[in-house]
Amino acid sequence: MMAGSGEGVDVHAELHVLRRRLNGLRAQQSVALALTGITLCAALLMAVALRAAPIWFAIASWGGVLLLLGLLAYLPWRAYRAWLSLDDTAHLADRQSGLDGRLSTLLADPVPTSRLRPILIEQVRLARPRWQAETLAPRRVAPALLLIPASLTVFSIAAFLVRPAARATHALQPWQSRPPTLGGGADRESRIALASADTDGGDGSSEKALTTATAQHGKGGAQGDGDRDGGRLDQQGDAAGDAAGAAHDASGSDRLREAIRQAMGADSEGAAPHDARGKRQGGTGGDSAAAQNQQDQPPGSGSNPDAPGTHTADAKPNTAASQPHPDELAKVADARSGDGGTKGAGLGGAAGNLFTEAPRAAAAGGAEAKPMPIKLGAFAAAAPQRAEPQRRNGPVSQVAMTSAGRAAAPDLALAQAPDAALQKLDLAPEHESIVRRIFTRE
Amino acid sequence: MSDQPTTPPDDAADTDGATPTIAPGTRVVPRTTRSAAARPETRAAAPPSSAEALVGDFADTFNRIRNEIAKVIVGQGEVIEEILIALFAGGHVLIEGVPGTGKTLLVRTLAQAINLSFNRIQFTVDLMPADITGTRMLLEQEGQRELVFAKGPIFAHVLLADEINRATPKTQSALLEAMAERQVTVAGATHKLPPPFFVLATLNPIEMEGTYPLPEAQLDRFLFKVVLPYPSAAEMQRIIGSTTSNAAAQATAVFPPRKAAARLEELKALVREVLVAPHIEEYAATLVRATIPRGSKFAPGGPLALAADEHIGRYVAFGSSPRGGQALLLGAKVRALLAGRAHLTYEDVDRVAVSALNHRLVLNFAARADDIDPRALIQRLLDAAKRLHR
Repeated sequence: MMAGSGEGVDVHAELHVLRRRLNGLRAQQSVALALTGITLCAALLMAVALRAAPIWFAIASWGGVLLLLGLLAYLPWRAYRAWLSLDDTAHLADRQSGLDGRLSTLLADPVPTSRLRPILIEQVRLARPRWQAETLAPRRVAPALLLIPASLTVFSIAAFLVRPAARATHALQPWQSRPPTLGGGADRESRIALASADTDGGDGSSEKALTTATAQHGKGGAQGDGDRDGGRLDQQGDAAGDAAGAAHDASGSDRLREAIRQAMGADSEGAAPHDARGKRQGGTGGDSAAAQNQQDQPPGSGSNPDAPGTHTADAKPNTAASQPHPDELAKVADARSGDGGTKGAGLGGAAGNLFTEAPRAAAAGGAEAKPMPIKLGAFAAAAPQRAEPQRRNGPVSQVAMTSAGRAAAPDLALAQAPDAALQKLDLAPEHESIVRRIFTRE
Repeated sequence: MSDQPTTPPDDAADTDGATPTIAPGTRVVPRTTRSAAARPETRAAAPPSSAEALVGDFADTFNRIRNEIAKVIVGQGEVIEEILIALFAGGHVLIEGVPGTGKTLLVRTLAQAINLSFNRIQFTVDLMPADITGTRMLLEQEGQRELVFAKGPIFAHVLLADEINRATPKTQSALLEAMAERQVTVAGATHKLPPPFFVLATLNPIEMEGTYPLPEAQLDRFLFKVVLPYPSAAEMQRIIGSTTSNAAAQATAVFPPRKAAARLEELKALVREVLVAPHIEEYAATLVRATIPRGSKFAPGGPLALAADEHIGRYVAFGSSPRGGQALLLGAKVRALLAGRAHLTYEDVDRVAVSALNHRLVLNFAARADDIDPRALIQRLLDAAKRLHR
């Protein structure tokens, strides 16, 4: 064997050095390619998650997983195929240094006793500057490693420059994800708004409703329950509609609605002396909300489509004497039907139609009011209108502000809007027990 | 041959490094190492110089023989070179050529140049094996009769089997054992042939009436088959001029009379010491396997590094035997030594491939109908194998 001779040892050792270096470079290249692929996949996934639809993110995720698996399978195979044995190294050095097979022949050394072997050794040694490791593989670090920082740069750029896409569902998130307590309160607010609509139907003046609400609010104390509710609805704007949606969505099961109905019956009986709503099923809050809506936005914009009429059926426990005339109810409903009418309640779309049908039916059926049938999906049709950014919404701390004070209040930033609906609404002490009873798991 | 290296005379060495002309039987040390070899303390580092001297001596001897033959034979340089390659590789040569192209003269001149014994056998239909190998004769000596083996004409260093295809297969086969094993067996007694034993057989491609084509087993014993073409116009002019005058050219012996055989055997041994890398052996094996049609009954299994050639599949009935691979490597080794190398390259194998393989392809009827030359088939294989030169 060549390694047994003094001349051949140098060749053998030099070939080993060359082999280690070449294999190291190829291993580095494989690792660099693997890390680069993974990083680029992650960058792509992040960009898709920020900019594209969820379905694309799912597709990209699965594609990334498959690509990653393929990469992890291919690169070891590639490294295995590219791994150089000592014979391969000699062959490679022969080709690259023009030795014409001398290194391969010397390494194989088929005839150890050949008298011609010294010629081959001498020729290889003379040509050593052409085939040594420093010549054929001067680098110890593969240039492919530069791909790693490059891919990390791409990843960083993607992280900083790709902005999240504005989604239409953004404004829906507060009421869709609202906890049950908030939904219950809002549901109650919607009930109040409907009652106020019934009450307000007589004169049909939003200014009057606003005045009433302000006056009642001025009374304060226990009598201000309805006022605060109304003001809260006014402040929340869409929150009343959100509450309705939440009532039939998150916590809007039959059990809950039944509980609310029962609670309303008890509430109307107990709170009648303190609240105008006790007499005519509803205070002026809904009206005041409608009036405020009229001030804040153009008529008929539909930003508060379902605030008044979420649970119109809750008016059932009222006595017949306290029922308004069916024609008046019809007028109120027509005024809220979203045609940009005189009321300016902003009721429009599918929700508005609900209120045009029920009072007329009541009028046709007789003097006694009956529960108004409301389809659970009716408010969903109006949901896109609620999805508008809630620029008018303010924090709950401003719920009790007067209209004058609210007019002077600055608009909130867009990022603050979703936070407002997530805060817990204020509850009057006498209503606290009702809410607790509704949401107690008994 | 002397054991001590001998430096060439100053006037014999060319400045461009060409091998100088020196007397036979002496080792040649290149001029560049002469001063080092002359110093006793540096003689330990002499092996490379000694090895280079061996290679130089081989190339010098080869060229001198070629030049001596060229004094007599006009042209046919490639044929002469291939015959000499086969001689140093230890094989036999089948020469095919039309009558009058100097086949017999070529062989006789070769024997004169290497100063070895020469016999010629004119093969005819009635030639018997004993006429070639010899026979036992009843001789009476001193009143006693005994059977004595009388050696036939095969007992020579250089044997010319002229028009070998005119003998019967039985007689042709008498050469099988002699060519392969360098021995003959007569009446149960085996007789060794004196080394070197070199057979040159000639074939006449015309007048095929009454001839017996050589069997494949016989053809396979020949290392090379060379075709002697018609000379060119200038060569023809020189031939007719030199052979019709009084001054007939004669070849001078390159080797001394008593040392010629040993000297030739030494050079043949040197040929076998040429180093061959595994990838060259693989290449030669690939070429041999590529001559075997894939649909053949005896086709080998396993993947082929070389794609199957459609012409091989269409025109070849049987491909080359492993002897073809041996011929490839042995011939390539001589080529490498002539180039001053101690190892083989792809080009060495390619240059001897046609001569080493063309007579080993057994063509089918379609090839004969389409007048297919096996040399063209092998050349196609070589062109396709260029991509294996990696």
